[in-house]
Amino acid sequence: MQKDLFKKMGPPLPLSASMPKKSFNGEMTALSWSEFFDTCEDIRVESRKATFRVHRIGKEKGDEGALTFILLHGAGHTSLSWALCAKEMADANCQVFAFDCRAHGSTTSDDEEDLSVEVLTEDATSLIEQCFNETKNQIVIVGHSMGGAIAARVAASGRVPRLVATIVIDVVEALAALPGMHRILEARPQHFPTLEDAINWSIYSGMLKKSESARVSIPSQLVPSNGLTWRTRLEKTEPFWKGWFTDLSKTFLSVKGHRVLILAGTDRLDKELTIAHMQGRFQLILFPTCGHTIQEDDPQRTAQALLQLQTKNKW
Amino acid sequence: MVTTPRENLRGQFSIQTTASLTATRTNMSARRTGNKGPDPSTQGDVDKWIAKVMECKALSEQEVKQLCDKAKEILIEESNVQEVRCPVTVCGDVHGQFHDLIELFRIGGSSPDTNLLFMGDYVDRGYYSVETVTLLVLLKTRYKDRITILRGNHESRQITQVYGFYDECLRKYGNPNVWKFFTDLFDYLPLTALIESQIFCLHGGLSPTIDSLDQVRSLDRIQEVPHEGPMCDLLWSDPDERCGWGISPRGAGYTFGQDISEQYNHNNGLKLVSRAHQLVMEGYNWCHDQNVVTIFSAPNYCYRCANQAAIMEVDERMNYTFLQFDPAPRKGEPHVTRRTPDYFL
Repeated sequence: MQKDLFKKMGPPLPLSASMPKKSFNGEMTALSWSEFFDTCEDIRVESRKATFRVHRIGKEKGDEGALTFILLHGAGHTSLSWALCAKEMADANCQVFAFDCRAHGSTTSDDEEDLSVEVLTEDATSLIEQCFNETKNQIVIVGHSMGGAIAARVAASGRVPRLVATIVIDVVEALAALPGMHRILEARPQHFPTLEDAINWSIYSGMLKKSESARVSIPSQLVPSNGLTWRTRLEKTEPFWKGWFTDLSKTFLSVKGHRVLILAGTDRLDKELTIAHMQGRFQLILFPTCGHTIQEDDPQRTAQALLQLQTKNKW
Repeated sequence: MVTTPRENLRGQFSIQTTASLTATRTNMSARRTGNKGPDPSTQGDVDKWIAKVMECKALSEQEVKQLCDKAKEILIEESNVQEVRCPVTVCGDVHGQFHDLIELFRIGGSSPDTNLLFMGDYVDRGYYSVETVTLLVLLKTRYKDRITILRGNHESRQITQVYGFYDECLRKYGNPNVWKFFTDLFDYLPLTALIESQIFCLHGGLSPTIDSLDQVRSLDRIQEVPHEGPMCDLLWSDPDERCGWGISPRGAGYTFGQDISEQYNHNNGLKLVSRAHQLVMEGYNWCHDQNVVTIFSAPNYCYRCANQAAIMEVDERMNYTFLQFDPAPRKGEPHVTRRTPDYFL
């Protein structure tokens, strides 16, 4: 009887009495987007019946060879997952454009249920077309995790103007790992009394490594409800997981321009990517000390990996 | 499998082992180089160490230090374009696949019976980088005129820290000293070799800043592999179907077209550029109208790619023969499962 009860409860929640109430690693108060990005705006895309939250750094100055980086976050995250990385790029002569996906962060839409790969790809492509049709900059599309899967498909669509490079971060065709995701999601607390508790949990649970990043990214993932709860119901997105990751390797290897894969470890490479890597068909950058959210755990080196594209020869 | 002139020579020299093709090759190469043998003062230790490492047992930290010191003295004397005589067997990437290296020796012959030329990438990815590189450096130290070991892009401090060799050294020795001994030694490895003034061998490929062999000879190679420039390109570049020079998808080095290879071979009186660096499913691959050949000697690379491996035998008449091989049957290798991230949405 007691056993059954434990079964139902799943693994013990990391939000427990043993967690320090106060920060154990410096300040844990929330930080505003404005400390990292220049602007925050909501852009309506009529064809998608959605209004996207966009954070930007830098303006297009018409310099030859200047780059615009379009950043796509992972499932459950928001554009503020890029905050520290973007700030690292602020002094480089480039533009940074990060947006919240459908059903994430502060983006609003008529349909918050359908997060299929087709819908998310069309969202991103339409937004990019609307904002960058006239651009003189060259475009680099960057995606983390689910955002990486979307980025590869957006790049492969051929509809991004002046696309020169595609960068995907810690995403592979890990279909075999899908069943284990339930356990991980179930272990997440559903409610937090305060933002500080949520930020504290994200560090304490090992989800993020850098508290400064957690302080800006975690609040954007939460909405008020019995305290605070997750904006994106990740459990409900399960029907779409397979679609996000199927044929990802093939799609990534098919995109034109420079291809960069940033991973936390080589073990993540499947056969197709291992062969392609060993044939020199894409650039692999490894950050073995990072967790899954590489751009938050090591924003400085992630920014360097993105900005190295600027120093490449003329495209 | 083996060219007939060599078959005909069998029996002209005393054969110590059972009459095998390998033994025949022994005597071919013995005749060529005079078989003087190494400095006797170091020979005993090194022979013992070779016997130990051949069984896939690592040397002690102190032994590795001594070995690297000896090897450094030998390598520092070698040229950036190390002259090699035929017959010689040319090998590509090994990547810590120790059992497959032993299989390579079984199929192609080993030092000192067969003259060998390895084109880099001994460490990283496979489970036995320590044993693999130790064995090759041992053979180099014991039979310096019979084996040439070039530098690959993985013979670098930076690359080995993320692709496995550093972690393996830590795991096997409990500290990074052995990694440091070897990576310090890697700075001394020659960048290229030249077989009978005709076949230019190197790990990666050509560089837009290098037109002649003399330019390669004049490079200051005793350093970590730089991020750009001629030394980087020699270890990183790839041949490509497109003409001219291109940006490499790897993020280092360049791609070069058939026009570049033809011009380079013509200008330097070469017949062929022989290189490794890229996985090719058959183990070897001709390109650029036979101006360039790629040789890859790690079968089933990373224990998951299902590729064949190959080596190229260059005989005393400068004819090429490719020997392909599959993964060696082995037991006791760690069970290979791909570790995927727990959380990846």
